[in-house]
Amino acid sequence: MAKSIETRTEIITYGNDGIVRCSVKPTEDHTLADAEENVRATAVLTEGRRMPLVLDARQAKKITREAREYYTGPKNAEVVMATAMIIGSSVGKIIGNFLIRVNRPPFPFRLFSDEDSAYAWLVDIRAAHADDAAGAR
Amino acid sequence: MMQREPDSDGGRGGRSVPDTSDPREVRAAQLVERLGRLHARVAAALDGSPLVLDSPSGLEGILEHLERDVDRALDAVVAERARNQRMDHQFGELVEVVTALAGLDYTQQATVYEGQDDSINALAIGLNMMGEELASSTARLIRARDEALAANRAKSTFLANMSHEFRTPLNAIIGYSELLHEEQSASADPMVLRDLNRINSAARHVLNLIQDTLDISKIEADKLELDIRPLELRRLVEDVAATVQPTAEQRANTLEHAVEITTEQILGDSTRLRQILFNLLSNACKFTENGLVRLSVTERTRAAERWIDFAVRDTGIGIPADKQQRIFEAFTQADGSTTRVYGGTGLGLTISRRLCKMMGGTLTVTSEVGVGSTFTASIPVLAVPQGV
Repeated sequence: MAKSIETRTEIITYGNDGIVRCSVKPTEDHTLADAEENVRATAVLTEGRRMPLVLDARQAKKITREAREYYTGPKNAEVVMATAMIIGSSVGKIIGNFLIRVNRPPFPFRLFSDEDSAYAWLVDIRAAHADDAAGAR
Repeated sequence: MMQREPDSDGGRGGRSVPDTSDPREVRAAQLVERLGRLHARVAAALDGSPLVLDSPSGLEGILEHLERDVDRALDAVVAERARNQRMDHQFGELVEVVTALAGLDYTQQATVYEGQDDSINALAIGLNMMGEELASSTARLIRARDEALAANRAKSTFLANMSHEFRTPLNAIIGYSELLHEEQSASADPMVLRDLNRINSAARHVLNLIQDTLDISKIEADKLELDIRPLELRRLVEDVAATVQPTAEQRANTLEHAVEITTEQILGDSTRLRQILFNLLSNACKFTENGLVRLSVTERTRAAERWIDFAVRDTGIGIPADKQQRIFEAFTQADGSTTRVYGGTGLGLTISRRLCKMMGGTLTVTSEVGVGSTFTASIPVLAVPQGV
């Protein structure tokens, strides 16, 4: 059964397929404190294991520089194996491009326009890290 | 009841062909035509058909439909107009933010409007994020610059303090060794006098090293300034030659100098010029034994500019071709064993070249191992103004 935690800015679900799903809420801001809370929540759900993550950012409006740095920093890299970010607008594309090109995350990070492609990519990534995902069962 | 003559097009209204190429007039004429057709349709309905006024298909129903359509159209026009006004305003804001960023002002933020065009909102968000990144990078650079400046100041202060701390006892050593030498010269064991000379020489060497280190430090920090004044070139050359003469004699060298110039007085820094010539001549004497060291001072014109060349030629050991540029690097001599055999600080040529460059000139070398070397310091002539 999937486990879920809701924070101020995201709904985070850890599915039986071993993939974390984060749905970003349309909050007016998204701060460093929110980023820290979301990463902690992810670590709780995955019990500290590094897992592939789908980030549904289609409703995202804004994110601070400090939050972006945290999401692409070493703390988040401890719980995230790879991130597939789903975007649905130019706003999402701008934010996604900044995350990839300016913040340069230390794990694979790619933008997608639909869920199927995002999940397919993460399944491939996880297969390549089969040892890390062994604990998902 | 309104009387109306039927039209040849079956009640569709008369055609008005505007006798103009003005698009606005053509458009207006088309609208009038459409209104005319609408009027004709209403009139035809009134004239021929049995209308029930309260039924949906009656005239009132037609008018209600028309009113709803007009209301919707008007709402759409008003909304579009408001949206365009917001878009214009938002574009204006974006231009201001771009201008502010170009002026290194990273505090201005563009507003993101709910329901506004997605592309424009994305652009506003992108500009805001770019401003944040630039502000952060600039702050980091400023901190790094301030730290570097502070470290440089600390280094200069340290050097100045250490220079004083070293010089004071060294001058005492030099002074006392000379005093002892003088007192003992008539009666002392030659070995004692020799040792006193060695003490004196070693102390002077360290003193030179300290001075050279200070000089190179000042040059690198762009803090060394030339003291430009009128100087008598011929006298300066003779003074330097006289100073170097004992060094030349120590290794049985013949020291010559020749000044072939028409300009007796020029503007320059006599102290630094003296330093360059002394360095070149003492090097030549050091690396030559039983040979010839010659200083030639000549004048030439290049591209309407007058130059003076100070060429120091020796018949010494020479410098291998692959080392001829390295010798101008700080603390580098042609060979690792050179310092042991010939002494020196390894800074003389570095300082001399930089001083020449500060004067607008150059310092070059030609050399052949076993034959000798020629170092040429070339500087542009600064003429003494009339009346000085």
